[in-house]
Amino acid sequence: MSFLGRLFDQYRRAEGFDEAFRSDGTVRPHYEQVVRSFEEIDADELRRMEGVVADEFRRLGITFTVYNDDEGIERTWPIDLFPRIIEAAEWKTLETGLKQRVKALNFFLSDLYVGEGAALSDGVVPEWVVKSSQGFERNAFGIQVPYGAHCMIAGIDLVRDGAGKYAVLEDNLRNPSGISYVVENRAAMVKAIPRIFDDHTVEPVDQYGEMLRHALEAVAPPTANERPTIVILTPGVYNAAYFEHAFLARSMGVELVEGQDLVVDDQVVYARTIHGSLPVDVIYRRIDDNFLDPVAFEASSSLGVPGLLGAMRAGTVTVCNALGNGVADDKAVYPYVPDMIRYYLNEEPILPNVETYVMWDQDQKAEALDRLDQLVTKPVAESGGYGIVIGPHASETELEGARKAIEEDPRNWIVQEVVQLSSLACLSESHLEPRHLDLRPFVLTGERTEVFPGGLTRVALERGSLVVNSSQGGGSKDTWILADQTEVPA
Amino acid sequence: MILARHAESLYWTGRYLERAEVTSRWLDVASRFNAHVLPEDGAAEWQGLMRALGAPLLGADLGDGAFDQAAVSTLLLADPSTVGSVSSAIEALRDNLRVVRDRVPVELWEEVNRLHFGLEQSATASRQDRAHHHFSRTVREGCQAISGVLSESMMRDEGHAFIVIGQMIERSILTVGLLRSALTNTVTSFDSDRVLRSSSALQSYRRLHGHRATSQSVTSFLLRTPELPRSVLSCLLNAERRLNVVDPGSQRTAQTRRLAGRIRSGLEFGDFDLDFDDRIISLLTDLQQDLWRLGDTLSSEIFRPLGEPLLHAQYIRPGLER
Repeated sequence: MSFLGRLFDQYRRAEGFDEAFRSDGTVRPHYEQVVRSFEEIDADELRRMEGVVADEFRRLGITFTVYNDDEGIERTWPIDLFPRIIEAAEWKTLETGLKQRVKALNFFLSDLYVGEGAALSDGVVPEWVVKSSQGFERNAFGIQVPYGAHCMIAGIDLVRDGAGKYAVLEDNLRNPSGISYVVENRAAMVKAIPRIFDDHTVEPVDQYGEMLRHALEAVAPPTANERPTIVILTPGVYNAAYFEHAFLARSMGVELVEGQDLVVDDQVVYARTIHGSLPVDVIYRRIDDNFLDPVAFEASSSLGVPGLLGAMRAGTVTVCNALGNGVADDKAVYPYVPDMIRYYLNEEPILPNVETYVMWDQDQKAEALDRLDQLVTKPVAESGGYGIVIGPHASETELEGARKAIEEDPRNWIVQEVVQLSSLACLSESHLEPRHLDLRPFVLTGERTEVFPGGLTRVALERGSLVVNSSQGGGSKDTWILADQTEVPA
Repeated sequence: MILARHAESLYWTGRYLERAEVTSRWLDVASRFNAHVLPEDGAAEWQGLMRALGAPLLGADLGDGAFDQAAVSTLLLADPSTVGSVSSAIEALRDNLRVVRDRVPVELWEEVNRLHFGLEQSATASRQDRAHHHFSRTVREGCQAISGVLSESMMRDEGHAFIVIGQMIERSILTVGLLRSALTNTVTSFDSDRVLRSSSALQSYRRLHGHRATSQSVTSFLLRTPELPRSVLSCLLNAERRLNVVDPGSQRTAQTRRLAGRIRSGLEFGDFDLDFDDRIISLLTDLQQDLWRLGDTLSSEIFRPLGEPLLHAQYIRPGLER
């Protein structure tokens, strides 16, 4: 099938793998119907639909905050209406690979904080890398987590190379955000262009609240009764992700608390309610380790709860994600994750890493510095796309700066091969153009590890750009996982 | 379970919702009546309205102009920085609701946002017309939509109860303020039609008492008619019912309930007709103060029982015996 419709008139494939179109211009089978539907739409109509969604998002307050020079600007969540589609079989592989990876990461965290540290003594991960990590948290030692679910909610960023092969770009094991947008994107799509769903069976995404609540109930401490009291701890209404915090509280039917609402007495956490103090069993916290407890960490923080660490130690409350997860999503530890999988699970990694050079290995460093203009240089402790130098797009001054920074503090940098992210059609002006994108699926661990169907697809703002972070102006797409049709007779 | 902080936000949501709606209604009624008085009297009338609302008269930037409908409209409607303006009430309503948006129906948050975004447009239209009609209508329709969601979509739980308690307390305070302002008006004599219309009670009054209206009968009607949803007595009865939802055993709201009961029985059984003209102003003054105190008592009993300074003072060192 070829594409002739107006919206596709000027479509020129970008470099790398196109999710919908083969290199000869034909449409991949799982995109055929959607492409056909979009051929019947003209740009004005699509613009109007986008307007409908934007109004809806604005009225519902589906926003995020961008910080620029310390000034917060509230933006409406950007969504492009051309969906990203993943076939059932492909998703199965991703699902298995994601579970495998998160299981290994959880084993590593358990091993490190409540076990013997076997991976360190066996040399799977260099001890000095672990102990010099900003995310390494001595206070986490000895704090038991039910089912070893240190990372209860993980967001794993996946990209596809030129051949369409998936790889893990980054693990987010502390406070990965974005799940609310997955759910709201779908709701908006169903409102704006319901007809494109007609020919597909798409896995629903409404069940996230139930899944999360189930996982949170599973990790309640033994002191909790049958229906544990769960709360979400938010930094408050001014936080960039406040919408998501409120969304999660609503979809789980639990209280959204701030630090000031909780109080610790005799190593038990209580919520200050109108009926006095009521004990709390599980805290899904959306604040960083450093602000959790002003007694143990950042003393000036008013976001946390004094005495919370003591309660965690006493085992009267479970805090999710657990303390100290930052060590495992440190980009300097990332190169060792495939080895963790082999070590703990005795399996070959299903999802590979992006090829990465560590700067504390002289050979790797020499090679990387030599080809820095072809590689991506990343600071290990930043997130949100900050501080990244993309070699092919960087000026000589930027590259020189990166070289100098690496020489000064090799521990602080990793260098990776450029992944020519895959691309997909997005509406730009009056026609569809390819934009690069990634995928952040969410992996939940309670009694068992489960992958939420789909995930957040983030797209770059400009043609050719490889930066997809919403804080850098990127957008998003609804992500469809097609249901497995093998059991349904035609 | 409901957090004390959330309960407080819901309570203020109710208060600001009521305030926004009442203020815009009063302005509409005032415009209608003040169009028929002499300009110099009109200014005094507008000042009376500002006073009844508790809006500050000093420091308000009126330029050269005196109090007239355009100036007051600008101040009381569209200026979010004027304390007591409709805009400020809606902003405060939204700020409070944002804190609890996870526990109220999505439609409620949506309606409040719609109103918030609609105000900007209406303010422009009103400025162009030099009339606040657009603006008032947006506010009233918005408030009615919000009330509709509250009544049809929200579970009658503690959260709902706190919104209603807030509405009832605000409504009764404003009704008493309206009566006081009308009874102490030095420019024109007590205008029963205007007072009744301001309380959305004109029709009801006429059905019951026809066109015979005195300051005494109107005052009594607005204070003590249990069937009239805007009467102070009705508000108190409603608030007491909601307190029962919040705290059935009356364990944590004893003072609030005692005070509410005392005010309510004063209205039910008090002799307002005795020496009406001499005593009514001081009675209303006392009543208004009692109503203010009712809000404060609720706050100190339920919302902030430990007091703000104690909030973060309870430091417990991990692992230390106490």
